[in-house]
Amino acid sequence: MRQSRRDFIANIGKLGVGAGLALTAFDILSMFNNAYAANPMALKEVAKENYDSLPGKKTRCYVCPLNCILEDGQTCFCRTRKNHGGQLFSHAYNNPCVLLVDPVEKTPLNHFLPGSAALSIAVGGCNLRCLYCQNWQQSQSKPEELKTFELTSKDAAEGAQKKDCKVIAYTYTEPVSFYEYIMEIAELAKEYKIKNVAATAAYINPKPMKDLCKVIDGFAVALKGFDDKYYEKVLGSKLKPVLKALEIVKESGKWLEITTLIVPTYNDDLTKIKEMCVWIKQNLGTKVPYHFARFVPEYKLKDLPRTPLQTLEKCRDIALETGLEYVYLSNVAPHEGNDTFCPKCKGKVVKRLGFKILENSLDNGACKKCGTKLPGVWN
Amino acid sequence: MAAALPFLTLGFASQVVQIVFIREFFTQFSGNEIAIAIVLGGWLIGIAAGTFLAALLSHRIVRPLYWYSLLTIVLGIIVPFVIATIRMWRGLLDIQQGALLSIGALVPPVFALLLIPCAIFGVQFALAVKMTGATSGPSVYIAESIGGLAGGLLTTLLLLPSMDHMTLAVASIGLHAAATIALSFSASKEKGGGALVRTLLLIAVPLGGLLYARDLDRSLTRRFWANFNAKLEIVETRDSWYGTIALVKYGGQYSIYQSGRLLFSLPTSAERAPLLHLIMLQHKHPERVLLIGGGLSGGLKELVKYDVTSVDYLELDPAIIEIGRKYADGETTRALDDDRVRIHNADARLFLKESGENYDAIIVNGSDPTTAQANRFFTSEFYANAKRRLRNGGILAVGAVVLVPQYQGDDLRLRNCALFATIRGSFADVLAVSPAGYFLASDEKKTLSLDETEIIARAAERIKEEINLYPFLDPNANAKVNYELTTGKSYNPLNPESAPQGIFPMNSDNAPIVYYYTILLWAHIASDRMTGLLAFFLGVGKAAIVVVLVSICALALLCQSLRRGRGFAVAFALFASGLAGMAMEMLLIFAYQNVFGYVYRTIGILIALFMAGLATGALVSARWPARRAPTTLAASQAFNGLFALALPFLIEALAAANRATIVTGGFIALAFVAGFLTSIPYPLACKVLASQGNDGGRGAGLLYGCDIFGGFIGALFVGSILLPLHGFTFACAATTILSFGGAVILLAAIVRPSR
Repeated sequence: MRQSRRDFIANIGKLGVGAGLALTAFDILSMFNNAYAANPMALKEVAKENYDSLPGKKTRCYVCPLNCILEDGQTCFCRTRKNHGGQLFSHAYNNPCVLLVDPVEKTPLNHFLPGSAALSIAVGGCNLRCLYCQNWQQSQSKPEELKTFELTSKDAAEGAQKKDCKVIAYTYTEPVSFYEYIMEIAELAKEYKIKNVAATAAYINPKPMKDLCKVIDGFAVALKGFDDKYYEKVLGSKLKPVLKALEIVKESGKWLEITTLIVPTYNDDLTKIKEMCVWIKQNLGTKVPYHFARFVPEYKLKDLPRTPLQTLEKCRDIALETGLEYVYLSNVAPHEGNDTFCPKCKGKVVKRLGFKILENSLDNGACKKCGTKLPGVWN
Repeated sequence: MAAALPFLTLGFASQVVQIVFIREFFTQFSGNEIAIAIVLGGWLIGIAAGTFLAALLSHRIVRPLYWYSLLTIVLGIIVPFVIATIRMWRGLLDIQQGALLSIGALVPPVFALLLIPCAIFGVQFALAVKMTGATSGPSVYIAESIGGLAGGLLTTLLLLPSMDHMTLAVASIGLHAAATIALSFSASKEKGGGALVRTLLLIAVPLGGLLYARDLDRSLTRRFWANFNAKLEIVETRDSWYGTIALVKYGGQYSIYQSGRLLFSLPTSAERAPLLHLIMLQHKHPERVLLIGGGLSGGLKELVKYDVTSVDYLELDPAIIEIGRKYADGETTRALDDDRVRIHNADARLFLKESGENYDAIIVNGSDPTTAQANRFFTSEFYANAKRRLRNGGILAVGAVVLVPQYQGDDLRLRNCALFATIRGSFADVLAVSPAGYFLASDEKKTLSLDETEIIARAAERIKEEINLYPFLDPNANAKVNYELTTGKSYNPLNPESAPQGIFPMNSDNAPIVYYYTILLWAHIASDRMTGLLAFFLGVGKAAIVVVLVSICALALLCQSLRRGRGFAVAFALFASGLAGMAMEMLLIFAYQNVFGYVYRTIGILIALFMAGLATGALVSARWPARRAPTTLAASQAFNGLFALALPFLIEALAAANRATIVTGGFIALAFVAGFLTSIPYPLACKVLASQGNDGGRGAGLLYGCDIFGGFIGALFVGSILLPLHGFTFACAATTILSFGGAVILLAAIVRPSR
């Protein structure tokens, strides 16, 4: 039987409508599937003091300064906290995507149990959008989008002990985005006599930061620049809350080191560097170790050259001239900016090659030559 | 035929402008060859739009010469405008300084920018046919193709090294304008005041453009870099055979860019040196070393510190050494002048094949395989070649790829596993060095070591200065990366488990799967809208593609059976031959690059030879008797299919040849044959349509549009998806299916011409 042209067109039309409906149904099913695909093991309700339930099953998160207001089913900017029927849950729980044994210097912390091994833990997600992120595959993904390990807080503490790690480091991605998981591991790790350190951009609200300070022993805070425009344009965040968080760490008495990645043409204005150093001196003191890190082309800034050595050296000189006593250069080795010098006798007390300690002449944190006690966590 | 001669310049200008646009966009796409496919696709869609438009309006156009002249004047304005817009793109789209552009962000502007100039070329083609008579489509086609051939050859061989892009484009339009003036004078009906104004404009626009083209080009280059990053000071720019080189200065540091991609910075990076030492320390006594790239960025000065007898340093583009030498540190310039160092400006793949030298260490200082060019150093063919050139106990070091130890993302993981599986398939002992992103390989087991104690001891014995080798010797990071690359599973340091070796696709010249993964990764990095589409094609198997292609042919057969006459079959055949033609052109460019080297230099020659084939084919076809046109058209489709089927074997035979002249000659011949076969159908199709009483201008225009639309699909789908994902052979096979489909549909129409 031969089809008429009209029949043929009608059949094609029906086929098209059918295919369209099938695709729509597939999309709806996929959405449904994704919405409830989370592993119950990897869910933890956000502490009640860190979020509000609002009318209409909405929530407002208070962990970071973004204070995301979410409809039911929506996820925070950090990609880890999600509103499930008016309750806020963290999906960054028991599911790290990074599990590595690293030297603690990699955090970077130069005055915190030098030479110790740290169990590094990271979960997918971040509340920043840095264009040069070196770990963007993890930080710019939801935890459930990544290949992960099943790791409870007990597994983490026991694992660290088994691997002879004196430290658990929350690093690679942003700890603020897996805050709930950290709080639980860090509490337990203390029972195992293991110290906790966090490498963070500190874009966090004061209350959760104060709570974090109760369980974290050392902070490596990335003060990424000293310009609000830079924070907004390149990092997708704001400077002021970071400065506040740094003051909170200082007040808590927990160990603090600061790092600034110098991105050429973006945040390498020496006047701003000077302002930043002055602020650190005035608000955090001269004994806070300060690291200037070299930018290497990465992620969305792949075609920007690495930081000129000359720029890094100028930054270091400015910091030292301002009065900061411990100023380091990272991602440049060999360089005297890798080493620790005694502020009194100017002798070299720790010789490093990158993250590797070649010589350590400190005696329980004191210069062997002049006896000056250097700030840090040495035991 | 003589009446069509003035339209030689239409093809000439069109070809020159096309080459200029490809080179300009190549820089915007960070040197990625996908630019060629996208620009050719956009180009063809623009031409198709123009011819369709002209075909639709054909009966309303009573003064074709008037419109032809007017459009030539518009071309003289629009082409420089498009070049300027391409250069100022970043500023216009407010793209972050130094940031990568996504493919998704690039495709719409490419198409938008190309639409008007290409549509004008298309409309002018249809107008030319109208001016020269209803049956003159083939003659105009031939003239245009010959012009294209001349444009391609002249530009590539003579003009590019001496002329900037702007001058070149404007000059070609100037020539086109001169021919248009000649045409106006020969046409008596078009004389008068209006004609005089048009003539003056035809002289003034290109001439004015030529006067300012050079300055405009320079100012636009400065503008491009200002948009790229206003704080980078431009010290020097140069158009070399292989790309646009730019040297920029910032903070006492010089950086060299090629086609918009950062190559390296001077003075050399302190962290580059340790890697070279790590590689050299793998061998007990390396005497003969081959260094592929990276000599200026710190490699060469470190190598000459060893007791080597010779270092062959390969750098394809001499301009990089010329510029780099001026700004390099003293140690590097001394190394360049060292008696043991021999500098070769040659493609490394071809050099390895042609030279009879053997080495203790071959060091490839490549880059992440973000381009097909870079991918050539990560294929099984390259490894096999390198292995042949290694002496006993010799080391191959190849990098640098993004190989961070903590990676987890699926696209990067799969890509890196495929990379690792490929090199493991060629050597007995392979190690990945994290975080350098290097693979070390040797054909002797237990030669390689990343043991800290052992390597530090060797370093102490052989290197006088302090070198930071520790980042490469972290046992945890190396255990993790080697485990994950081998198994595809995540490494749990708290509970290390043994797992079987994973099965991953091999990256080869024929099927550069890694290149596809990297495009996907690039799309992912740039949060590209195309990520989903690219990932979708990753899941589409060969069988599904075959089913879709066969279904398209079956549907076309059904449509033909429902229509009167042979028009639909002819249009489909033109679509299929256009697709086959462009697919063949893309495949040949790709294969040439694989075998020969960098495509940037030779793309014009290959396109020109393809155009020569087009012109000859059309000439032969135009003389073919009209009564035999339908069957010959069907036969030409079948030949197209057969040629596509034979192409992989022909390329393989060429690749096996050891002489550059044979390889080049072979490719020239293949490009010519591909063009020849592509152009045969169009004149025949016009004859079939004319025999059915179809209006010449409208019918010729519509058919040309079908041809070009097929070419657009061929460039984009075959060049960007099928080729990297399923390989050269399958891409050829897919083209064969459509060509045979076209033949079958035509035969069906011949056997039963109407309902």
